[in-house]
Amino acid sequence: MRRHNRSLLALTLALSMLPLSGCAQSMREQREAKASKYDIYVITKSTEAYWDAVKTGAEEAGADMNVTIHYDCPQWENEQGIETQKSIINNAITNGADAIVLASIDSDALNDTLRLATQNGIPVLTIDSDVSYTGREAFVGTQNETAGAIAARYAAELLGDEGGQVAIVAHMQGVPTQVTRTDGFVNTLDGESTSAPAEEIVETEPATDEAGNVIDGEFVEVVKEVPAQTGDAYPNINVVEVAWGEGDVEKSKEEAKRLIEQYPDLKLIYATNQSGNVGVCEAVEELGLADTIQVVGFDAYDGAMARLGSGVLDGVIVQNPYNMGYLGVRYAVKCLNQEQITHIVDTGVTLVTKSNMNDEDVQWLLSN
Amino acid sequence: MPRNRKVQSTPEARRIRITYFIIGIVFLAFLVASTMGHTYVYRRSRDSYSAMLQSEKIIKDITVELDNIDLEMISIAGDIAEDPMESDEAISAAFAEIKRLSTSYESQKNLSENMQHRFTIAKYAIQAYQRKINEIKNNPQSSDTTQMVYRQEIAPLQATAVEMVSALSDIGDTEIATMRHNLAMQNGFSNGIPAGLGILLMILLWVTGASQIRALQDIHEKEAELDEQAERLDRTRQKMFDAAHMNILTGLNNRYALESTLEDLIGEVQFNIAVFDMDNFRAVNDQLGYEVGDEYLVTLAERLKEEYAQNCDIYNISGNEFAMIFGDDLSDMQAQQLAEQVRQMLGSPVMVAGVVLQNSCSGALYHVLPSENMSITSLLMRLDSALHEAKRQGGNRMFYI
Repeated sequence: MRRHNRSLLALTLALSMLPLSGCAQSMREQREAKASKYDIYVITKSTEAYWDAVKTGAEEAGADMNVTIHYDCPQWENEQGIETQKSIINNAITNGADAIVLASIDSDALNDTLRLATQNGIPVLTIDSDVSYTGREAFVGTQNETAGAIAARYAAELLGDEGGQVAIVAHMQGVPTQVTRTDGFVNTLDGESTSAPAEEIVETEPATDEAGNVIDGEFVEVVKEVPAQTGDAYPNINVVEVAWGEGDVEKSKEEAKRLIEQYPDLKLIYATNQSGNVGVCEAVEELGLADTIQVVGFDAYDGAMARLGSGVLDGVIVQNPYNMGYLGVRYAVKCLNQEQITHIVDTGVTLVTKSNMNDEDVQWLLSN
Repeated sequence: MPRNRKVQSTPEARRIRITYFIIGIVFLAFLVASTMGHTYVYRRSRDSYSAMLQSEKIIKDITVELDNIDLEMISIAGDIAEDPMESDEAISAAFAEIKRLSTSYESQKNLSENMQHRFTIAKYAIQAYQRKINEIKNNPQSSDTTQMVYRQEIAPLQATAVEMVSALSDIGDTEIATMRHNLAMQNGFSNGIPAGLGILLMILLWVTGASQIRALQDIHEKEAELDEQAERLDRTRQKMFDAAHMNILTGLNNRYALESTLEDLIGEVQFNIAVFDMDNFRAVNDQLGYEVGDEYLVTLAERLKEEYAQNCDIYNISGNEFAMIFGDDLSDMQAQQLAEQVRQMLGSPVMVAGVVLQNSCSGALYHVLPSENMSITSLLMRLDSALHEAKRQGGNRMFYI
């Protein structure tokens, strides 16, 4: 009887072991399948709502591509913020980041820190705002010159063959976004294109230190853009003045009113940022000139849709921060996977007008 | 002692039977669970795999259409289209095809929430791309402007659309990984449950085996106990038998024993039976007391046993009366001599409790033939009357019948 029992036990044991070995294999597969491929650090400029869309895009890309996203940002976009960004990058390097996706507050200040990252084998991609450091793998964001060009072509469309006088309320003298948005606009109307891809060339120049002195024997690669000459496309349109709104709604409004008064034949005002956009619209509203003065501006805001409906605002250039976050991470993963990527990725802008403001995709864009 | 062969009917056996039945059921459940689990996992994998293939194909087709549109747009923007109308139609057809593919993508069953979300965003990108192309179509510009618009707006929109559509493939990969994870989990369950059942089965067998062994031990113990009891009973019976057939005082066989022996002998064989009675024995009891009388009888019995037990059966049929049966190995004469010898020995002096006692003894001998078909009672009565006759004639003599 004992022996009989024992052989039964052995049989059962053998039967149990079979699925148990399967169990072990399953657990191994589970680990492999669930393991995140990379740790990607996404660093933006501040806690403003605009960056939330970038964060959402980055995190969704992370989930889609099975990579872990470590999102961080300084509280404010200022000098202190630059230091915070540096320490976040240093931490990322220490923590063994696989890639860094950065929206740099300053185009130069972070170069050394970023160089340290690339020296540690961590690829760096920039989003929204590019840096001057040439070691970065790619820039993913709005091409501001293109955005300016789009605004210009729309302005030309609004003015028609008749053309007319156009003024610009730019936000801050010397700030890259302002310069590029203004140049893009003006050059397009003048028949020059400064937009990137086809004319991008890389030149080697002697390296300089912070004071601007040439360092002997050291060279840096500089990407230069050569404008393409296409001739004066809109001879009837004339940019009469670039005024400075200084990033302030009131100042922008004041300047807009001055321009309208100073140029009686003024047909259109182009505002290069959100505060300029709001200020110009308020000026036009207050003067009751919605039918006379056309307004094309940058960046949507709470009252923008109502103004598009009433005709005060005729077109607004909207960026796609979600796409920047999403594509930033996506290209970082491609880069880590040794896939070929373009060095400048235009996430595109959308010109929102009365006619498309209710389109599904535009609504989604504005809700971001 | 026969063993109890009807073990099956005991509660113990019933319990064992039920346990084995349960083990059988568990084993069956083990097999069924294992088979079902693996079938389920297999079906899930197969369905998910074909769904993934379907998704992948649609995504690839949409990307191909987007690239076709881009090629047409390049030819339009570069002013190299042989027939711009044809290009326009090709673009319209491509967008129509994308719409059809989109519908079929969205109609897929088991599309994850994430896939739906991603597809919606991809669709938005395609919508923006299509809107821009339509703007160009509806509002033709100079070829320079068209080229610029293509490069600055349409190409990035196309790239974004392609990128967002391709992202679906990556989700597919991630979801395949998740699916593998889930399948691995399910596989774990489908393996783990039978394994658990197997272990349960093992424990059951273990427990049952142990209880069976215990039950068998119990049975063995009970059997031993019964054997012991039976032995005790045998001994008691023997004692009772002995008590019935033995004179308690002298340890010799008693009258019942004699009757029992005679029952076998009468009518069967030829034999001699002698009875002896101590003369005037009552005087010993009266003068010296029963204890001395008893001791006297015991001593006489010992002497008889010592001298004759090997040759013949000796009985103490009552108080001071003895009987002996001589088998057919002795002739009548030899028996007669032996009986006389015994009578004289019994009548010889004996030392009892420090006193020398001597009583004469009378005897009677009967020569029984097999042809003599008489009852035991009548035989014994004849012997008794012969003994009485000897006593009447003054005792200390043998009377032969």
